Amino acid sequence: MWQYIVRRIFIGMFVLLGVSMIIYGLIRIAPGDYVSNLTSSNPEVTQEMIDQLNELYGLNDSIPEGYSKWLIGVMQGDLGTSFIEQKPVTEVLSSKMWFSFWMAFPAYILQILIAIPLGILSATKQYSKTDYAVTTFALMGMSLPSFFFAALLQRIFAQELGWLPLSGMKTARMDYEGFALVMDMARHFVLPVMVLTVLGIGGLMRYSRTNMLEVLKEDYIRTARAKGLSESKVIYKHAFRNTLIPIVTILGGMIPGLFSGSMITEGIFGIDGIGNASLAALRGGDIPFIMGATLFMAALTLIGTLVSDVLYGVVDPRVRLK
Amino acid sequence: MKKFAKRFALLSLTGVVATTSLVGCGSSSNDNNSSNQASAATGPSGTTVIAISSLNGIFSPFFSQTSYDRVIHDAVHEYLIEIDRDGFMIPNLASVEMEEITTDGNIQTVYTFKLKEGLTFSDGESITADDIIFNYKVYADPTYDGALTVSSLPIVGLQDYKYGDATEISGIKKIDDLTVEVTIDGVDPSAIHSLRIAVLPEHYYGEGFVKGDLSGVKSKNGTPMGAGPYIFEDYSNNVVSLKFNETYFQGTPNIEKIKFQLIDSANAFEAVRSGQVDIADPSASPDMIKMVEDAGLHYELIDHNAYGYVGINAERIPDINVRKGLMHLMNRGPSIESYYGPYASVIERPMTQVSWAYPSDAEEVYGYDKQKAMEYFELAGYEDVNGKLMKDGEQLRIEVGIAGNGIMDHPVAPLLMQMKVDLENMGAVFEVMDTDTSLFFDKIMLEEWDMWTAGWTGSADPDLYRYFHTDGSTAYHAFSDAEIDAILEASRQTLDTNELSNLYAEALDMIMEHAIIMPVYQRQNLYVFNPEMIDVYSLPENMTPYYLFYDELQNLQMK
Amino acid sequence: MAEATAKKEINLEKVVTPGQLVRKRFMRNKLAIVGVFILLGMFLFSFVGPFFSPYGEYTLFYISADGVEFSSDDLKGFDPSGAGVTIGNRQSPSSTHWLGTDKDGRDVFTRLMYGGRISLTIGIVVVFFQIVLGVTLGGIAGYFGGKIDNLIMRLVDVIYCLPTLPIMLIISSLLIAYKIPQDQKIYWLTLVMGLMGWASVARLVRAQILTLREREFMVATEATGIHPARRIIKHLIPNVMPQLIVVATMGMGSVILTEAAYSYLGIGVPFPYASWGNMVNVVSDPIIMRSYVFMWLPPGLCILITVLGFNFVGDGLRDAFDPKMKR
Repeated sequence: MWQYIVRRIFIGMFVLLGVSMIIYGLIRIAPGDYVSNLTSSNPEVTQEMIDQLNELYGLNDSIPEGYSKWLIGVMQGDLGTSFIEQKPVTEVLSSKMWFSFWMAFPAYILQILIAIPLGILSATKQYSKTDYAVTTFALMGMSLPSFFFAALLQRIFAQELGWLPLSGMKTARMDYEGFALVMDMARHFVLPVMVLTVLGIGGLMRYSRTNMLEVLKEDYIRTARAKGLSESKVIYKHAFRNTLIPIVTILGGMIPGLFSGSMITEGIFGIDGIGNASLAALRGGDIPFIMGATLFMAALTLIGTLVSDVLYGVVDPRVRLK
Repeated sequence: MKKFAKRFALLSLTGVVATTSLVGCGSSSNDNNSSNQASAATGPSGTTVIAISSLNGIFSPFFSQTSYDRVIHDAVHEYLIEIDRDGFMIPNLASVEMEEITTDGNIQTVYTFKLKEGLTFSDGESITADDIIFNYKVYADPTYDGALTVSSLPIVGLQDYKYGDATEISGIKKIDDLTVEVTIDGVDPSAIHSLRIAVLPEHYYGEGFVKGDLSGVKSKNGTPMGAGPYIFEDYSNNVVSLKFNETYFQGTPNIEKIKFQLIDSANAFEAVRSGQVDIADPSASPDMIKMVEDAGLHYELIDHNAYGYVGINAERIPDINVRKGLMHLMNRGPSIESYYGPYASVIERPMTQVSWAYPSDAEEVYGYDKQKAMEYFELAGYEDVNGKLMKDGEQLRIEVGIAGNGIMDHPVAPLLMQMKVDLENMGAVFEVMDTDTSLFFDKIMLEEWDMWTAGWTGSADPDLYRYFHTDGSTAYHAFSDAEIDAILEASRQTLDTNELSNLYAEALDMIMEHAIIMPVYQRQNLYVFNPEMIDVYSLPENMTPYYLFYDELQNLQMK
Repeated sequence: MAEATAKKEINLEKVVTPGQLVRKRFMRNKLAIVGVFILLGMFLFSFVGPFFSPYGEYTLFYISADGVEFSSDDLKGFDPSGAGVTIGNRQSPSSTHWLGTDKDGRDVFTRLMYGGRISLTIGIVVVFFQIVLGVTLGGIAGYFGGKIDNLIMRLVDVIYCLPTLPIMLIISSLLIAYKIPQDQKIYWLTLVMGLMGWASVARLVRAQILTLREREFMVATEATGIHPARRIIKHLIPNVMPQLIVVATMGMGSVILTEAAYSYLGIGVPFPYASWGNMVNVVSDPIIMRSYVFMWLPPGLCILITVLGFNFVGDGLRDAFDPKMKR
């Protein structure tokens, strides 16, 4: 299995190389770079200054030249310096990814707690009213644009009821520290977490429902029923355990993605995470950060699939990874 | 709407100090002692929260890129010279004297900055001439990559410093501990706007500074220190915390702590209403004002020091009759009305009305008139061929750029829509390209659009040269006219405001006649205050775009 | 007569074709039926509806000084620049404008229909692209294996790892750079969405073909010497079809949502065309959110109902085709 993992990581490197080439090429041929952004509305900038800035920011290099410089840096563990924040990209990423994580992680746990029982419930009662109600409820969450749902939540919980803060990460007026600060920040994360949870429930609920349905059709379930076991025993002792295999693998694969942030939701709620920063970088032509962030996201995706494949082998001994 | 506010702010982001209205805390002629004395007994108290819609964390006047970051560092730093309510220069940390001299037959201007006595930075160190020179040197450094353009001024010896081996700038001299003399070649009424820099302490920013290495200066980007009314504490979780500076030269501030919280401008109003912040600047519209009034909040409407316009590229549309025809298709009034309601007005000359140089008696030149437009197109040789407006076998085709963030969220959008309908009825093609700001200016500079709509954030300096002279640095209109050039050149030779006003008025009339720019609107900025937290009587009287409460943070008081 | 019917029924009982079985199972799922009706309704509304609307997609409404409404299509003798003329924006619902007018003074109801047309069309076309690309490449990879498989699958990995939103943002500025006219931007948008989305289809098809290849009936086709092309078309594709149909149905829903997200970021369907996505994003304006429910709620509901419809139908089809099928 180790061999398998090593091979996958090796392939992953090539995939990342491909991803970074595509992104770098696209950003560089797109107009509206950082320097023109910086100078465009300043009536006193001279062409000479623009040239000098382009030189300083490495925008005069040709695309292959610029890319190889970047690549060499990456191999030495240097992702460059963000134009907008004027800080090393690795530093920015490693500080912001935790905000993204703490927004995504509670949502992840909630999704598991809500979606899986619902999926199992509706599978055991297929085509019943409960099944319809549960399915409709779960699918509604994934049938709304996230910004729409976020705006509704803000309207209800922040503006009308005033229970939760509208946006932001902490109460600025207060100088909370320690536990109080954590609690204050947690309060600010409630709405974004709600958005992410509801958006994710549908998929997971549907996944566990189908898997449960599949298991329920298996011979051993029929055997168990034939033995005269009670229905609850059949479901929770035999069927559920077997449904867990695919569910665990998919859940494991989701963990790396928790760090990758969400552009729209973070923007709406003013969370200083990866998504928000990437959007600003994309709008501002901050090439080093865009490169760093997309590479980071791509790597997370790769790790995610790897984790879920490996878990599949671990949980289900019948599967042999090669 | 919020998007527009954001973008409009963006236009000013990259401007020099002079192109932002959110300048530092200035001195003012009005007496502020009473409030200071009142609080002197108890000392500064309370925490106020101000909403800010973007933060990049670069709080250094050398390198900040957005007007938002600038708000933060202007509370921490102080300028040599400030701008008064009408956009004129007034002494602040220093006073300035300008003198024209002749050296070897060439005219030069000498600026003498004289620092007030006994001034200190917030850490107690005194402010000296060396600090000023250090600041100029940073701007002139060969590796300087910030947005300010001090180095494009014709300062004597600057080129030798920037590109040669010189270790000092010969035109910048220390006379004594408190006096610095700056010599520039020629006369330039705009120069003072770039020279009136914020003074940053050399002993703090200059650690390890040698020519060609600004890394030490940059390392202080996130932690500013200066002579302003507030001291930077920290920036974390999207909140900037500032603490009062006891030794501020215009008196100790009344509020102990000021925090700036990052809030999307769309949520600005709600944030004040819900008590999350005390001050915010949502964009003004009749609906917004009504909401603010209903919520019992205090608000101030202040002219925005900028104007919106529709520009035409004279190289791409060389025929003046076509340009005039297009001008007659711009229905400005309803368009602006629908976006801003009464909080914006149509202007008639391409200059911000806020400026002292705007000719107040200017009249409309091109009214909306389809008949006239068609006449002009016919005059240009276009005729209707099978429902198509053709000339020499080519259909009239206009491409216009707009920075509407892809959703046409822009006050000029309805104007363009009406134009699209009218032109298509006439048989022409009218292509609207909606994009975001960075791309937008790129396209203008590459002259890829026939027409575009944008805004100029005015500085306190009404200079027209840069926009309309053949050699202007941002002459996007690709337009050249000897007469206009002559007037604009003349305007660069005088420092007299009356004479300048007349020259500008004449130039503006001619620019209108050439139909290269249609001035569209001047809008107002809205500032909303929570009267239960902020003592609204402590706000400065008669705020103008040049002089906002930010310029008098030390006088702001909590209830 | 009665006898004949009875006989027929008996026959039906005897030979139930797989298709009938699927239909029977599908009909049992009430949600799926609801979904079908939702989609039918939405298609009628969007594709037939505009013919009954008196206004155009971007007709602009003005109100004259004495309160008479006229539009850019029908000036009624008024001059839009005349004194006191205002743009008739943000009008509340009335008999002339069933859902009022939007912030630029256009009829919301009419735009809702045109918007549906564009949203649904984009959904269908994008999914079509994804399926065609995914089936072709995934099929080739799965069927031939070896180096080709390796090559294609690495390409799939790369595409799969490209973060969609950043790519779309960059590409949309490229479109402006190369001066793609606004009306053609929609085609590019669909094309890029198709190009970005085929990877998962290809994976699915390939995996399916790999397992099918080992099955007895495929071995039999090989043994009997049937031509590879015929084997693929006649025996492999039909076996992948059910899954593709399900993926496609659900995919259409998610494309509509993706377009909405793009619109929110300003890179969706461009002005002056309407899409549900660019209509609903006014919800981010707090004033509209608070005071003009008729502007954002209808497009929001349209999206919700339609995507839900696609999901219902997709779910129903999956359950009906093969309950053992995953996802």
